[in-house]
Amino acid sequence: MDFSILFSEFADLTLNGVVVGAIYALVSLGYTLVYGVLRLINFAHSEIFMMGTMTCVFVTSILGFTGYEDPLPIWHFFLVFTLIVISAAIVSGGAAVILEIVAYRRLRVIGASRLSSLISAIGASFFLSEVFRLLTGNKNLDFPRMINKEPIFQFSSAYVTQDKILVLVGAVVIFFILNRVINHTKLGLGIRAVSQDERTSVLMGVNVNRVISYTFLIGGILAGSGSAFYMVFYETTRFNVGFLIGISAFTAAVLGGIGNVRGALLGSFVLGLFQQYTAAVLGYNWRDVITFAVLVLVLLIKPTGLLGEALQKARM
Amino acid sequence: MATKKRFNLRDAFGDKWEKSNRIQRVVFRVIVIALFYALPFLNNPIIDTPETSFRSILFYPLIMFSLMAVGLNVVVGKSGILDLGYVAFFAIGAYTQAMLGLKTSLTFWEILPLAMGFAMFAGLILGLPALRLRGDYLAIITLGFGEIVRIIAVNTSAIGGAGGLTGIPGPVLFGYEFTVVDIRPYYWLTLTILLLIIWGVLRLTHRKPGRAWEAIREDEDVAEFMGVSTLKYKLWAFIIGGAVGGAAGAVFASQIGSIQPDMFSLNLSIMILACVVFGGMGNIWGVIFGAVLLGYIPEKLRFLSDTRIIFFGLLMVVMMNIRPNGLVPRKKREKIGDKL
Amino acid sequence: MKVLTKIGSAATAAALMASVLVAGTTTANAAPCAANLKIYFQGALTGSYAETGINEYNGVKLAIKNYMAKSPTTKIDADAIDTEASGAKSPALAQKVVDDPCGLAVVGGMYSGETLAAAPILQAGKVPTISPSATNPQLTNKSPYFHRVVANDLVQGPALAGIAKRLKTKVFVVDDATPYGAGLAKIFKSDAASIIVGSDSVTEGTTNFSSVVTKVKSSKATAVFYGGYYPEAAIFVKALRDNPSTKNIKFIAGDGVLDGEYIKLAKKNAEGSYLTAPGLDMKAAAPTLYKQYKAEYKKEPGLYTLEAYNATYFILEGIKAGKTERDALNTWIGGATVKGVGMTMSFLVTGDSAATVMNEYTIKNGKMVWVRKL
Repeated sequence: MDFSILFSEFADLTLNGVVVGAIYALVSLGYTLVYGVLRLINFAHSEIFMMGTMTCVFVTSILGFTGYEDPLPIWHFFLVFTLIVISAAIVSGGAAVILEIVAYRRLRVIGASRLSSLISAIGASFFLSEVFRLLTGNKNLDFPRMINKEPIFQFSSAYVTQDKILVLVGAVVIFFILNRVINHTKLGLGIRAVSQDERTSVLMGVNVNRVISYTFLIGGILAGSGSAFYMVFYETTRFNVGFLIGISAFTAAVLGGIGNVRGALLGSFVLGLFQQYTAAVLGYNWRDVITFAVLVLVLLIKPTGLLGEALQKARM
Repeated sequence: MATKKRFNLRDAFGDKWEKSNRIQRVVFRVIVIALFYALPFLNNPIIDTPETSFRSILFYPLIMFSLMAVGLNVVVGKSGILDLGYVAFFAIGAYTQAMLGLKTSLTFWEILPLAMGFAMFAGLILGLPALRLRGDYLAIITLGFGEIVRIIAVNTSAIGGAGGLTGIPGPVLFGYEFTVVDIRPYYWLTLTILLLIIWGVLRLTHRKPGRAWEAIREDEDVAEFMGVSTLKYKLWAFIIGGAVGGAAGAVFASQIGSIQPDMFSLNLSIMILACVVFGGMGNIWGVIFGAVLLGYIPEKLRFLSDTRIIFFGLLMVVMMNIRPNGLVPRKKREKIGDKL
Repeated sequence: MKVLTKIGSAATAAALMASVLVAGTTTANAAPCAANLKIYFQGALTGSYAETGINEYNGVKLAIKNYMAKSPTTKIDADAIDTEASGAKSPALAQKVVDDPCGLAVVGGMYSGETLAAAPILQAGKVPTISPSATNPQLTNKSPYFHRVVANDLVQGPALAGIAKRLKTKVFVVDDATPYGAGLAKIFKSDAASIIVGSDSVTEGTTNFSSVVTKVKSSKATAVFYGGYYPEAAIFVKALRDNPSTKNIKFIAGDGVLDGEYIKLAKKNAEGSYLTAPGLDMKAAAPTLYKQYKAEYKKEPGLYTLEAYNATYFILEGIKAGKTERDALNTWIGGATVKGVGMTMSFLVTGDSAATVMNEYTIKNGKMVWVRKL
C-alpha cells in the first residue's frame, strides 16, 4: 500500500478522476431521473449505455474511419463527433423509451409489486447484454482515434489533452441544457411534479404516461451522449461494458442521493476521484470491490446519500 | 353460484390430493421418489442431450438447480426478498469444501455442515443490516455481495486466486469412494439432500414461519403492525436460503474436483432466479419444475445453449408481464372468494 | 367405484413410467465406437481468444487431413470442444470427450486455466492429452495422461527476466489475475526481483488503464512486463504510448500476447515490443506446411498453430503404430520420439516436453519477427 503516489501524482489522478466522473455523471443522471419518477431502479439503463457505445462503433465504421495515424483537424472532428453523439443519443433514447413500454409500463399500470418490476428490469438487462454478446462475438470492439491525444500542456503531474477537455466541456454543456429543461420547461415541471407526488400530479392534469416516457427518453439521450464521450476517451467497448459503468454510475447516484440531480453530479465526481485514488494506492484489482463496498456501506449507513431527501419507510 | 375458476395445474392436482386417503398418498410418494432415484438408469434416446450425457445433466444443472431453486424460493418466492447474489452462498459452500477438503483431513460429511454453517453465517451478517432496507436497495446490496465474494476469491491467492483450487476430494461413504467418472452417487446424494430440505421447508411453511413469510410478502408494513417481527423472519428466510446454497456448493465442489472464481458469477444467480420466477414463486414443486425445465431445455436444444441467458432474460420480462406468479403459483391461503 | 378408478389410474401411471424405464435402461456404460475414432481439439473457438484457438484447430484438422490422404487403415475424424478457454466451462466439456466411445485423444487445452480444470476429468477417463500451448508449471506431473510439446513458464519466466536484465531496465510488473498471467508474473518477479520497482494487477476485460499508467509513471520504471493475454495487452500498451511520460517505455510480455490480433488491436503501439514464446514461427520453421496452411484456410497461421499440428501428428503416429485404444496410446506417447514438421518431440515422465525451446520475438513494421533463440 503505497500512499506516496497520492502526493506525487495527485494532479494526474485528480484530472483522470474528474474526467471519469463526468462520464459517470451522464449515465447516473439517467438512473436518478427514472428513480425520481418511478421509484424504480432501471437495471437495464447500463445496457442503454452499452448500446450507445455500439452505435458509435457502428457509425464510425460506416463512415469508413480507421483514423489512427492522422487524427482529424479540429473543425472536421467536431462535425463528425456531433454526428456520432446525435446517433448514439437517438439510439439510446429510443431504446430507453421502447424498454419502458415493453418491460415496465404494463406492470406500472396494473399496480404490480415492486418485486415484479425489478425482476422484469433484470430480465431486460440480461437480455440486451446477451444479444450484444452474440452480435459482437464476445470480443473487444475498437474505435478509431480521430482526435489528437498529445498533451496541450502539463499541470503538475497531469497531462491536459484535447479529449479530456472535450469530455469535461461537453459534460458541462449537457448539464446546462438539462438544467434548463428540468427547471424552465413545462416538461421539466411535469417531471418534478411526478417525482414529488404522482397522484396529485394526475389530479392536476399531468399526463403521467407521457412524462414517464419523456423521462426515459432524456435518460437515454444522456447515456447515449455519455457513451460517445466514453468512446472517444477509451476507444474500446464490449458487450458487458454497461455492467461496470452501470454499477459505478448507480453507486454515484446513490452516494449523492438517489432522485436528486445535483446529488448524482456530486456523487459521480466524488466516486470518480475515489476510484482513481484507491486504484493507485491499493492496486487496480481492488477497485471494483471498493466500489461495491462503497455502495453497500452508503446504503447501510446513510441511504439518503450526501444530498438526498428523506426516504419513504421500507416498503415493497 | 359457483364462479368459473381458471384451470390451474396446482389446483387440479390439489383437488385429487385432498380426496385421496393416507395409504394412497404414501404409495404415491414412494413410487415418485423411487422413480427419481432410478432416473440415472434411464437411457432412452428421446431424452438424451447432444453435448453431454443425460446423467451428467441430471446432476448439473438439473438437480443442482432444483436444490438451489428450492433454497432461493424461500427467500424470493415465499418471503418476497429479491436476492440477486444467491451465488455467493453457493461459492462459500464450494470454497469451504475445497479448502477444508484439501488442507485438513476432515471428511466430506464433516465439512458439509461446516459449509452450510459458513453460508448461514454469511447470510446472517449480510442480512442483519441489509434486510432493514426496501426492496430495490436490498436487491442491489445482494448483487454487490455476490460480486464482492467472487472478486475476493479472484484476488486472494490464499484460496487459490484466479486459478482456483483443484484436486478437491470427494465423499467416502462406508468405504465406497465417490469418483469423478461415476456421477450417479453424487446425484443420489443431492437428491437425498433435496428431499430432506423439501421436507424441512414444507414443515416450516405449514407452521408459523410460513405464515409470517406469506404476510411479509403480501404487505410488510401491515405484517409489522399485526405483530409479526418481520426482521426476524426475513433473516430466517435468508439464512435458510444460505444454508441450502452452501450445501449445494459443497456437493458441487466435491463432484467437479476443481473450482474457479468465474464459475460463481452473477449469471448463475440470474439463472436460479429465473427458475423460481418461471416455475412458480413460493411453490416448491413449481420451482423444481421450473429448474428442471430451464436446466434441461437449453441442453436438449443446443442452439439455445449459447443463447441461454437471452432466453432467460426474455423469459423473466415476459413472465412478469403475463403471469407474475409463475407457471405453478403458490397456494393462496384461505381466499374465501374462490370457494364461493 | 371412485376409489378403484383412482387406484387404477395411479397404477396405470406407474406402470407406464416403469415401462419407459425398462425399455431404455442399461447398466453398462460403454458401447464401442460406431463411427470413426476421433481426435478432439480443446480450446476457444469463440470469445476473445478465438483467433488463437481457430488457428490451432486448423492445425489439428490439417494434420488429420494429411494423414487421411494416405488412405490409412484406421480412419480418424477431427472434432472440437469449445471451452472459450474458460476453466469454468472445460470440465463439463471434457466429460463429454470421456463419455464419447469414439473419443480417442485430445489435443489441448489451449490455455493453462482450462487445461488445469479439465485434467482430472480426462485423467479419470484415461484420455491421452497433448497440449500445444498451455504453459503453466502446475501442469507438470499433473496427470499421467497429460503431455505438452511446449516448454512451460518455469523456462519462459526466467527468459523474460533475462530480457529485462539484458536491456538494463527497471521493471513494473502487471498481471491479469488469470492462472497463466498471474503465474507467469510470479515467476518473473522471483527471477528479476532486484530490478522490479512496482506492480499492479488488472482483470480480464479491463479497459481503463489510466490508474495503472499513473502508477507506472510514478515508479519511474523504464520497462513494463505484462503477464496476460493480447486483448488487454493491446489496450495497455496503447495507454502507455499515449502518455508522454511512458511513451518510450519498453514493453515486455510472454506468449499470451504474441498473436496477430495484438498487432491489429494495438496498431503502431505494438512496434518494438519484446515478446517471448516457446513456439516456432511456422513460416520460418516449416515453409512447405505454411504454404499448404495458407492455401487451405486462406489466412496466416498464428502462434502455436505449428505445435498443434505436430501434437496431432504425434498422436497419429501412435495410431499408425496400431495403438487405437486410450491407455495403450497413452503409454506409447510417453515413450516415443517423433520427428514432426520443424520439430522433434518427446516427453519426460512428468509430461513436460523434453526439448525446451524458447524464442524471442518482436513486432517490426506491423509483423511478428523472430529475433533469436534464448
